Amino acid sequence: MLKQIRWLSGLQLCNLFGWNEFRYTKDRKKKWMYVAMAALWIILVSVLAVFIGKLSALLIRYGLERVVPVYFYTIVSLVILFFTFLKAGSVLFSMNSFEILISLPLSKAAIVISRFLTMYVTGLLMGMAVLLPGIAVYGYLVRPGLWFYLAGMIGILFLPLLPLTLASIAGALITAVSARIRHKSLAEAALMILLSLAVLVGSTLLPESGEEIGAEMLLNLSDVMIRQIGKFYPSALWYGSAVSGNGLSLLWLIAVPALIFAGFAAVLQNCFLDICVALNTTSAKHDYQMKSQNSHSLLRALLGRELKRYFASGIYVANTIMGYVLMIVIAVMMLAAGTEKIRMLLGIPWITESLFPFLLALPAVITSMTSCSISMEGKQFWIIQTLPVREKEIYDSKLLANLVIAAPFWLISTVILCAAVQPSFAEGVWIFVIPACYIVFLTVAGLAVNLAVPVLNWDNEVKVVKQSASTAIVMVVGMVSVLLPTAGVLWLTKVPAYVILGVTAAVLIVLTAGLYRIGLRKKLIETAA
Amino acid sequence: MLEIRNLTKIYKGGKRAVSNMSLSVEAGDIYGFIGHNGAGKTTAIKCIVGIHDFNEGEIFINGISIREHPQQCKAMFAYIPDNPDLYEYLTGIQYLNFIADVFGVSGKEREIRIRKEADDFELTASLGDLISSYSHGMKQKLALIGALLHQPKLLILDEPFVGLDPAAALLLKNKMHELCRAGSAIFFSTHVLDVAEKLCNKVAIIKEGTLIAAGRTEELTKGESLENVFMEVVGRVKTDQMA
Repeated sequence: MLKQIRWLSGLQLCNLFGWNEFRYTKDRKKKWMYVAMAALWIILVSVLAVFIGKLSALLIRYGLERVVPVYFYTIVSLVILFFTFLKAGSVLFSMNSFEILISLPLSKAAIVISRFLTMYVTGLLMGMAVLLPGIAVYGYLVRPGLWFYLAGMIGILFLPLLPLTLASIAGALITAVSARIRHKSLAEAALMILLSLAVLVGSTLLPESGEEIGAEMLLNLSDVMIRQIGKFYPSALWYGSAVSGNGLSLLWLIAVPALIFAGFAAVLQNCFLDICVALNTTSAKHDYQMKSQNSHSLLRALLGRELKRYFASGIYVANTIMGYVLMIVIAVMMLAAGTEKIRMLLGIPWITESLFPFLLALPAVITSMTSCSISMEGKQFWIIQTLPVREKEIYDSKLLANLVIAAPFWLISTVILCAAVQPSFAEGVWIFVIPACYIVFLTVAGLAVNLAVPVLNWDNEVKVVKQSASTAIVMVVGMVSVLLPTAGVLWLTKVPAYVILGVTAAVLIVLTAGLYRIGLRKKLIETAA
Repeated sequence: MLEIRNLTKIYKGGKRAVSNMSLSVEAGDIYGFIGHNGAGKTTAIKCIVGIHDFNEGEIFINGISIREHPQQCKAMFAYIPDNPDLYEYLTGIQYLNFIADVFGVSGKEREIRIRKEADDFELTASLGDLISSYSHGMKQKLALIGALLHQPKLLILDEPFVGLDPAAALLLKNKMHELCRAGSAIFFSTHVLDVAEKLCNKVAIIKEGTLIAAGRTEELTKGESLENVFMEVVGRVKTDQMA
């Protein structure tokens, strides 16, 4: 079986991050795209490394060095959990190539483990990207012994197992539950969003476990933090203890995740085939009776097609709507907890009323539907290429679909935020205008970017929705576009905030108009080339 | 109906997929386009329907250039690829209504045509089901029904008989004759030479991107089988010479 796991894992891992395709493709444009993606990821990881390093140094400066390994171990686990469970269902139980594999003399356990191994490798890389800079700074400032590094590296190797197993179980349950519901994809998306929110909101509420942090506790803040984290995630405690020299904790750290994973794999392999078939089979009733049909306008037909496409994919919905949902979550938290508490929870006590519009806009710019809407046409691209429809009509329908989805979230979140912060008239106008400008800008920018770098030849929606160049570029553009004026409000104290807000809105409007006119000129025939 | 003049398509990397191809399809023609694997049939067809741009030459649909007026041309023809990937998230009837909306077919007309074609292809009962639940043959039938909804002047098909059961294949042949009698034209590629010989009044043979024979079927075959003619022109052994 080990040989089979090696073969199957090799098959999947050879194309990790598109490496095999990069090696063998003769399409130079594609090759350059991979290079650009790699450069982008290197920059992002470098920025993250600097941030993590500084955070580690800060914690050590305030006498919280004992917290560093525990804290980062927890952060990495949460990140792996969050990012994995959104795609666990589709990666583990995908029928792609499954039918070929199951007809070969391969054990089901080998197939399951090889798929899990792919997720493990990406989880491990994610973990190392976050944990290593923090640990490196810790090592430089605190100068621990050799055991720290030894135990630390062993801990990193076993770190992804537990969150991956939990994410896989959650992903499998979500897919299993939603498979029984008529609107499977919607149910899948709703469950993913609910679970994501639970993780996100829960992790911000963790310090509020009922313990009052008094003066004495402040002196023993390390112990308080470690105890708080240990209550919900003992693995992190074991890691902290293991790197401090506790061999028994290292044993727990290795044994518990390994045993849980082994148990999961043993259970899963017995019902793996049944789950795959059940999840990937569409029922048919064969009882349609012809009735009168209504005609609709071209725009309505195209918009209807876009929205049906959108809601047919759980991962597309979950990944893109999350930002809009967070807008409402932030606004509701402001209303429920009060702005002072939110400032403390978010760790940004200096946030002023002028920054509230950007606070609301930030989650909305993380993703846009349009950043992968051309790619999502996939193998059906030939249909819109051969229909008597102008490119503008197709692009307008994609833009409209994004705005139709975003509009209710924008309206609800801005109204709630206004109720929470009781702004002046001018402040209220900015709360409505700034997020709206960002949403429209990212909608148009997303489509323009996706037209420039489409991916039409895919076999798994995850590659397009979460791992494509266009979604990464749009995310970076969005975040930079929000962080720049935010920094302006914070640091350019001599410039009135309303000036920065006004300039931001004007720049976004001009950019949007420019992108709409120039960025969306591309012909479909050129897009596919 | 379809005029191709000196069509040349060169892919990135220098591969010349179609070289200086010229042919003409008149109203009433059932025109077979035959060639070996990789000869350039699908590439030529994709240039005709606007999926691929081309390097040289011109393509006219009813006298209108596909390059200069693509929407006008696309309103006149219907295209079905060899492996029609349809919108799996739609039901059959939703897909047909979408196509009918795009081509501006009225509600009343589409109801009549869908009812007739779906009954002919025995697909009515499945129209309420998601396309993801359809077999390959059912998807082909649905794509055909969608293609016939707006009564195209030119029907362009890439390997249309692959995946169709015998009854559906016979029905498609009858539909082709029906369309031609009404003044439309059919242009399709196929590997099944027997079907091309019996069905097509004209054929064109393409080899390595170059058109090596084109014309009326009886003039090309001159009493021999199309299979023999094909093997001879592509430089292979005749079937009756095989031991």
